[in-house]
Amino acid sequence: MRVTNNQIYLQSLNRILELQANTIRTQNQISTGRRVVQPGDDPIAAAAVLQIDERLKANTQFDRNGSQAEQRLTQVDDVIGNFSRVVQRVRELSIQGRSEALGLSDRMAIAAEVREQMDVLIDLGNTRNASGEYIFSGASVNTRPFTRDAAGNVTYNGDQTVRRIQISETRSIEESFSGTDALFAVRNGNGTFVAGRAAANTGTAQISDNVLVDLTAYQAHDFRISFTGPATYDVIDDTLGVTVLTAQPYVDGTAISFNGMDVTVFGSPATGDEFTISPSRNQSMFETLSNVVNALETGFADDADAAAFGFDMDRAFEDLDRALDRVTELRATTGARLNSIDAQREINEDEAVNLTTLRAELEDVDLAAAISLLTRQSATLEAAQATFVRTQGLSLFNFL
Amino acid sequence: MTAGLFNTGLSALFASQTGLNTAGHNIANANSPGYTRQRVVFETRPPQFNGVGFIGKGVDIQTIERLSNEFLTEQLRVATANEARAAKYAQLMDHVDLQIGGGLIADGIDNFFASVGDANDNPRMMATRQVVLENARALVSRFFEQSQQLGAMSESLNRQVAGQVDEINALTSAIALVNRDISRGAGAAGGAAPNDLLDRRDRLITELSALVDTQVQNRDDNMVNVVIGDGQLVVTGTTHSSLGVQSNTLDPSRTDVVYTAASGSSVVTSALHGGELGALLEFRDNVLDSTRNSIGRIAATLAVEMNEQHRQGMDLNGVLGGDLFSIPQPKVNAPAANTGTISVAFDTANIDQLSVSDYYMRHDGANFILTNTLDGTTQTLAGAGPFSVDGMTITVTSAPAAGDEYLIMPTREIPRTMSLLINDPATLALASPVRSSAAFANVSDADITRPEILDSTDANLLVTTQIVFNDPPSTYQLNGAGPLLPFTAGADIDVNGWRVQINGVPEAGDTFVVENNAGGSGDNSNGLSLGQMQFSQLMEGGTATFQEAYGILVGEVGSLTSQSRVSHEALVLLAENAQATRDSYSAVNLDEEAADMLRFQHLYQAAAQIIVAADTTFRALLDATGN
Repeated sequence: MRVTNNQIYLQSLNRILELQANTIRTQNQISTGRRVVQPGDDPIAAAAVLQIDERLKANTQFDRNGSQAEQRLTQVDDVIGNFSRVVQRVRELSIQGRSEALGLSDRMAIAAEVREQMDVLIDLGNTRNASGEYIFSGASVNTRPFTRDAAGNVTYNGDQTVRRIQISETRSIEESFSGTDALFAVRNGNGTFVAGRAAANTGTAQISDNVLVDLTAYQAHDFRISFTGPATYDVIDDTLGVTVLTAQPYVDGTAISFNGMDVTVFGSPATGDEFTISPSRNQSMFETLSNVVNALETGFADDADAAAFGFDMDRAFEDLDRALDRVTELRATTGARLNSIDAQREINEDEAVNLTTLRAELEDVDLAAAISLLTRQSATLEAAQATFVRTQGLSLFNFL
Repeated sequence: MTAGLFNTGLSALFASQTGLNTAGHNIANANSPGYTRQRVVFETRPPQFNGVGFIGKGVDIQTIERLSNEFLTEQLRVATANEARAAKYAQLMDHVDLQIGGGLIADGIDNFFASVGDANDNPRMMATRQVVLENARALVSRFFEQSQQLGAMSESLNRQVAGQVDEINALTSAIALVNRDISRGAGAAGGAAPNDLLDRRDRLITELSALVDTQVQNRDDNMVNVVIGDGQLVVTGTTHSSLGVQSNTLDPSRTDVVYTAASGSSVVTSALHGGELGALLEFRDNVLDSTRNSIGRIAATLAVEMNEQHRQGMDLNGVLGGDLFSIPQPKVNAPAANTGTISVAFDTANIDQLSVSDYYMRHDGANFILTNTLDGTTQTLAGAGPFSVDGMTITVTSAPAAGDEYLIMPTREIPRTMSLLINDPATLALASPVRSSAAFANVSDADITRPEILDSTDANLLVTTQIVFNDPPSTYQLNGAGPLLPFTAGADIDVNGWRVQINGVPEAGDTFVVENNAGGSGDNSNGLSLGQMQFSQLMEGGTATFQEAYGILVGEVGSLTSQSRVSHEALVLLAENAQATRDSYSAVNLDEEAADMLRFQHLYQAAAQIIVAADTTFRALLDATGN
């Protein structure tokens, strides 16, 4: 083949230019540390990196959310711990006050401390978080949740919406409890039904140890145990207006069973005495404490009054137990939520590590490979440059 | 006889001089682009009969040959044109690739949703709300900026098209002039074409074919005709026709190429392929427009969906959320000559069907025919409408006539014209407009879910509604009046534009309340829904999130860029090969010319000796005769 000077020149030059471009590209990859500088370098990697970046940023946000929720739940947990202490203390005081050996003045003193504990509970219920928001007022974070009206009753002014925090793409957790759940809507009695003692009772009989034995037989009706004589009673379903048990013989301390329930009456009833059994209703912890105070502050003139006091205190114990149950439940929920956050954080961290590794594999340059490539490329370039000069120097004119 | 020897010597002297001149000309032009080496073709003169035989009379120069091969020249021209096209295309792709790959939109979307996340953690804090607005504004301006960059590219394309049309005109006019010169030269030389002018014409034609696909027709008179596009004669012998540019009638932002001939002028944009001009037009049709539409589509979908969700919320002032973004409706271009009118709006319920195409719509006398300009598919829109097509609703506002035509660009202009409507951080609607609760006196522990908003425009949305269970609690009533509605645990209860479910076993008299959430400033229900949109597949027919849709665009542009690079590299090699093959035949080898020079120098010296011999012979004769 005939070779012309143009060919020799152009072909050598083109190769050198190409080698230079390749060398510079490799050098650029090494100096930036990136293999993919623009999508065209590796479209699939570039698109994947975008998704990875989105996930990583979202993960960071979820972690931030998680920390925020953790902070708030920790505060909630602390406050609920204090609820627990208040209820425990009131329970201790009630046990002290229950003693019939005490006089009214002693009970008044105990009642005073229960009142103080109630103030503490109100204050606790009105706790605010670092942002100045009431933590137990639902979404009405600006509204003071628990206030006492003129009659001394505590009302809840918040709502039942609790703010949720997104801790993963699919998971959000509530950062607190509404005041309703925390302190207000607590079932009284044994949680299913509650006993009552008619105020007009003249006997000394009391009712306690109320247990649900058969849920399937249970109906949420109002019942009345009515003593037709000191040793006989009827059980009447007031909801349906029918008598369930008629002229039953009364045995002191023996369980009376009906409607899937066992209730025990003990002491000496008088003819006409009545006890009621009704479905449990919501009762705030404040009302429970207030009941304790009222019972303790009531003086009693006769045995019937003493019996009424005993009954009220027993009822209070039941309600205090429900309050403790609720507090325990809240703490368990809080703990579970905190665990969820921890678990999610670990998942997020693992995912972040994986994604970062994947991102590096997709986008970053393999330095060892790139440097050895650069060495080869620059050696080839040098050789091409050297031979270019040599071939350009070859000319017949040199010998003329 | 001596005179003959003189003449023979002279012919040899002249031949060697011409040989030296030609070799010199070759050496001188060794580096001239497009130069074709020349060679002197010698011919022995007809001999003279002297009675016994024929005596040679020396040498003649038959011609100066141009060592050109038409096939190789053509091949080089085609290879150069392809390479030029691919180079231009790769350059344009690289440009758009860098812009899309800059992550402007991706970061904007991520930042916006991150700020929504922060606001949901602290919905009452003005600072976090402010950051949401700032990031929303930043996102809008990122869309604007990205679109502006691509729009600037489109304007630059128009200028480049105009520039190349000018260049084509200059080249065709130059080719016509060279044609004339060649024709005159050949006429004067009795048919021998002037070699150097032929080189010049070849070079001009190669330059022209680098701009646009070119066909050359040889003529008998040494001139050529040049044809571009699908048969537009731009050079006919010594005359040339001009190309011009004008704005597209339906889309003034688009420059068309016009061919003007004696018979009149016509738009030839779609007929022009190949070369740099072809690359520009192809890039504009296949990449740039759809890339701009694609960005616009993300902006439009995001704005429409965000607005929808935001309207389902309540702000810090207890007011229902309004639109977060203002977005214009799809752009419709209609010529003034149209009889009817139409209006086009986004079909918010089917916004995930939006495509990245533009649409050409024409009335054929009976129906509208809608053509997707990207894939060319057409559909007939029969009836009076409104027509719901690909995320748009087309409404005929006054009766059309046959020939009415429209260009609908659903999303292209969105990023340039959308804006953030909210300035006051308090008006960001993060809370749910209604809240639900169970009454304190309820006997059962059945619970009610948070309300979901079905229709935020319901006039009674915020009116307090009590769901009261009857005795027996298998039915309930609303607000203690009206029909007894059957109750199923967990079933949807849809009232006044909201939806709740009640779970558990309610007892008679249990009451649940749904009411205005005014004061629930700590609620972030709607904020969570807004934030969740980051992960919702709201695009591409419900298969892609915003970021995924952007990822698809990046992947597509990246692939096209990568392909254009690969194809450019291959075509560069082909062009180099074509150049090498042509050079191998037609270019100058200096060693060859050096050898020729030596040869002709020696010939010249020898020819000089012939003159000397003739002279000596002649002198000897003179001396012998004593004169």
